[in-house]
Amino acid sequence: MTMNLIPGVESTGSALSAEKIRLEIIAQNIANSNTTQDADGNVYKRKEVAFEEYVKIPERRVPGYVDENLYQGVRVTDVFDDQTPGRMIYNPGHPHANEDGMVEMPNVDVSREMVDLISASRAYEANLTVVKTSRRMAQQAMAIGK
Amino acid sequence: MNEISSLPSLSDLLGQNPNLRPNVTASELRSNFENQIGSTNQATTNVNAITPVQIDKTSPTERVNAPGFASMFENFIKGVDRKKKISAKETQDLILGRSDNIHEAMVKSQEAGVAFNLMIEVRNKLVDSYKELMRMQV
Repeated sequence: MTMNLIPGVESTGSALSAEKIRLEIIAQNIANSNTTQDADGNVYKRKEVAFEEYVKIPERRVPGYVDENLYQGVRVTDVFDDQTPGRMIYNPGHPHANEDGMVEMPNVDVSREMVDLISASRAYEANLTVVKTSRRMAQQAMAIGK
Repeated sequence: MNEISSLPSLSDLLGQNPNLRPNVTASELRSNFENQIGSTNQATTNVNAITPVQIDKTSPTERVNAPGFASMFENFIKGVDRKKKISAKETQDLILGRSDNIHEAMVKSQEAGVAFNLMIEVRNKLVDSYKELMRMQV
């Protein structure tokens, strides 16, 4: 028997985790905004996350009946590289320069990352508001008995 | 004199009740009476046609042995306890650095808190109803 006392908390919990991963990726992008060589020896490419809805509904679902097999939410399915070519800078003395003396800078645009950061933080906030509201609803329902 | 003659005569009054008609014979009276009794008997048979109420033949101990309110409440308390344990584990994992999900720990602790409050409310209600029973005048 599972008690689902705070409705929607499963979905919100997974959304909070997903937004956290997104925030980590943005942090990684900002941190590497000047990295000209990644672990494989290539220039750093801006990374993005792909979210996917996740629903696991049992075959026979009775409305209003709490089933412990029911689980829904969001999950991160992929972290992929943005393949846009980066800016080329002439710097022959750079250790990562090619034979023409050009260095490819990462395709990270810090101002864009900041916008994404605000977006991720707002999404996180929105999900926290859902948890708070949901908990308040449960507490108000319990106040009936008082 | 006029007022008296306008009143109904005694025979008219008696004529309104079939059993009190002055010219009614004894046999007529008897058949009337038997008709009335007969209809009452029929009503009695109709009452007998209704099935009697089934009496619960299980003994009080048998009834107590059935999974009842006590076991239900026990399961509920176990559920609340489980929530509290999950919350404690999440918090511990977070503090010890095994996990970095602050929200998970917070949500679990809120869930445990709500469940505990619900348990307290149910207990208060139970104690109140027990007191109400004890106050009952015998």
